[in-house]
Amino acid sequence: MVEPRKSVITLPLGSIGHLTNGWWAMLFIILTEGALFAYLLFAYYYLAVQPQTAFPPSGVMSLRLSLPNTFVLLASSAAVWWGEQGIKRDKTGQVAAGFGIAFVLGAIFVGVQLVEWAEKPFTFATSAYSSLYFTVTGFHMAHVAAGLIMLAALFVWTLLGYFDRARNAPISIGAIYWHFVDAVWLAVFLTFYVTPYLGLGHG
Amino acid sequence: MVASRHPLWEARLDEQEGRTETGRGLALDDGREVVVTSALDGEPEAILKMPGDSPLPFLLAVTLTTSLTGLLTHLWWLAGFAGIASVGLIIAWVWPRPELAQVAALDRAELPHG
Repeated sequence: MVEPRKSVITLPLGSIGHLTNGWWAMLFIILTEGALFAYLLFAYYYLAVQPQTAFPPSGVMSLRLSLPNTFVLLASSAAVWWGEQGIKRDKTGQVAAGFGIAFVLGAIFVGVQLVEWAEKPFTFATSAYSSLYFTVTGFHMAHVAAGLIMLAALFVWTLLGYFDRARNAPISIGAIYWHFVDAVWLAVFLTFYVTPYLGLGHG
Repeated sequence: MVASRHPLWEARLDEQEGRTETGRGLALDDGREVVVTSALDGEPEAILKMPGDSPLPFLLAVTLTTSLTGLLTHLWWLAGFAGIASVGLIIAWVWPRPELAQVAALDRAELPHG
């Protein structure tokens, strides 16, 4: 029997180039989730231009909590970016610190958002506007919660030494998702909190 | 190593010089592996590591179904517990395993290969 010769071909595992299959999967998740928020925000703008009722029904919303909270979320995205830079230089401590800080800031964002919900003078069933407000911000909170779970898992896995310069795909994929959550909040914040100050509304 | 579209008829069709050989090629004996090839020429480009058997997807389906049933029947405690269990199962399912890791092609000389 002829002994098979050993292969001398060296191939990358699981990906061609530096973009892994998981990276592409996350990209398409972001596209579909982005479409979801686009539809929801379209519903808001459609409602805003209807002439029959006053809009927003309860007047413009205060920026007292939402504006600082926006900066908290932006800071968490910066922390994730800083942490992701660390894995490219094999600095796993920097990765863990960046993702840990991002987790804390994300948790603060959720806490402040819950306070903001509690302070609202309307409920989910008060009007179409209030229903949209809680639906959109609620969907965003659900995405933040999923992101917090990802950040926590990546934080623990980094401390356990699962990632390094060559095996960094989960870090990049988690970072992309968190930046997406941040970008969606900017769109939500602009829509619900800023556009009424810019003149989108009547009555 | 398959060298043509018609491995069994290469001698008669005589389309190209290369011949299919069964004793040459990637071993693919390091777990469940498949080769990623280019679309037209079938040139090997990467190796995909496939995960092995696991009860976790089935358990996840059970907990997700339970959670949604809890939501439909307004049993919030059931939905909550099953939801938390689902999160735990997802984390267990995607728990990193070095042998399945996707490795970006930074430098082929550094990379493990199957």
